[in-house]
Amino acid sequence: MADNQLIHAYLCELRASLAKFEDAVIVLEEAEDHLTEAVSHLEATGLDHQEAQVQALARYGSAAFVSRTCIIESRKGAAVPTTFTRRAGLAAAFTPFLLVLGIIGNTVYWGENHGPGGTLHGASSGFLLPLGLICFLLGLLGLRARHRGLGRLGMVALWLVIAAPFLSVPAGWGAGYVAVIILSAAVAIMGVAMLRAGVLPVAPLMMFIAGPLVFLAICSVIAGSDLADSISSWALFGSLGLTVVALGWLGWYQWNEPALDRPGSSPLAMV
Amino acid sequence: MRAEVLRGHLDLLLLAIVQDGPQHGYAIIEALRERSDGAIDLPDGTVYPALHRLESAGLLSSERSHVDGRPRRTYSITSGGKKAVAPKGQEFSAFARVVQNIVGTQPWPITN
Repeated sequence: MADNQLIHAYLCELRASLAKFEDAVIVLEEAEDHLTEAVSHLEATGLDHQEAQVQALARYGSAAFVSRTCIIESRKGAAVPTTFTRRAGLAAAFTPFLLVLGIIGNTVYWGENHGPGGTLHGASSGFLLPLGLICFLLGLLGLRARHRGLGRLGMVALWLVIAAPFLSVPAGWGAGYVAVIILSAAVAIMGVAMLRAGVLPVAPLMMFIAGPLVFLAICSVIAGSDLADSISSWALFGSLGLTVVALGWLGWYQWNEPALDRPGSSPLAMV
Repeated sequence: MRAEVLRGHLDLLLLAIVQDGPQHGYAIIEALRERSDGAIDLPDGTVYPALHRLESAGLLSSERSHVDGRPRRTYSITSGGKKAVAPKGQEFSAFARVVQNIVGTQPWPITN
């Protein structure tokens, strides 16, 4: 078998440029198989071995270009819209309305005899708010599915969400704030992962990330000060509001994408 | 053909090629080049990430084997991939016909 010196040198370069890439082994195996196959086909057309290697490598693309493409494409994940991501998007789009209506209804005065105000209060706290929270979580799951898991950062965010209740319990009365801080970190990490993936529009993603970051920043500034009680509530509502509105925006965007698993959707959607 | 013209269509083209039967990367890329009469001539190494993405999406599956002592990955279309490509192929044909009719038509003669 002829010496594939140029191919080996190229593979070494590709290995080095893919050092931090998770699926580097697969890429390298495929590159080796492809280049070896290409060389034997080019030799069959009359080229000598050296020239065949040069041409095969030229067609394959430089190591830097190939590794960059691999990294960019992997960040995109298997970003395909499906029926689930569309439905989850619709749920997310309704989230801001449900939560706002729920909060408004929840503040309605009960009245002495639990009249219409009591009914509205009950409907809000018993139905609208829980439904809004379910839609919020469904929206997050939809975003995750739209990015096919979001890779390692997505896993970190998911584990933070799962761990939030357990980590916040030891804080006693402050458990609520601790939970929100952890969840804010999870949302921010998820937002950064989505931004890196470049699947969804940047503006709502920035807004999505801004909410928890603003909250965390304000919390760190006022921690331990006398302002904590008055300002942190506003910070909480303000930042959550930003994230919820951004989620609604992203959800609406997802709802308008044609699902890949639905017959009749446009081929132009396949990116 | 410029890469940006292909944007949005490459996945469909790859699925359509693999639909003919299981093929390894080199064969898929050569088929892409030959069946487009050389019009689609992307750097070969950039097609593999697209194949991996389609595999992650469940539209393709791959099997690892050994040929001449080196590992080889062979791609097959999944039932989900078939389901996705069939209507899209028809729609794309119709779309291409419409574009051709409009772009390829001579200007309407001016009549006074």
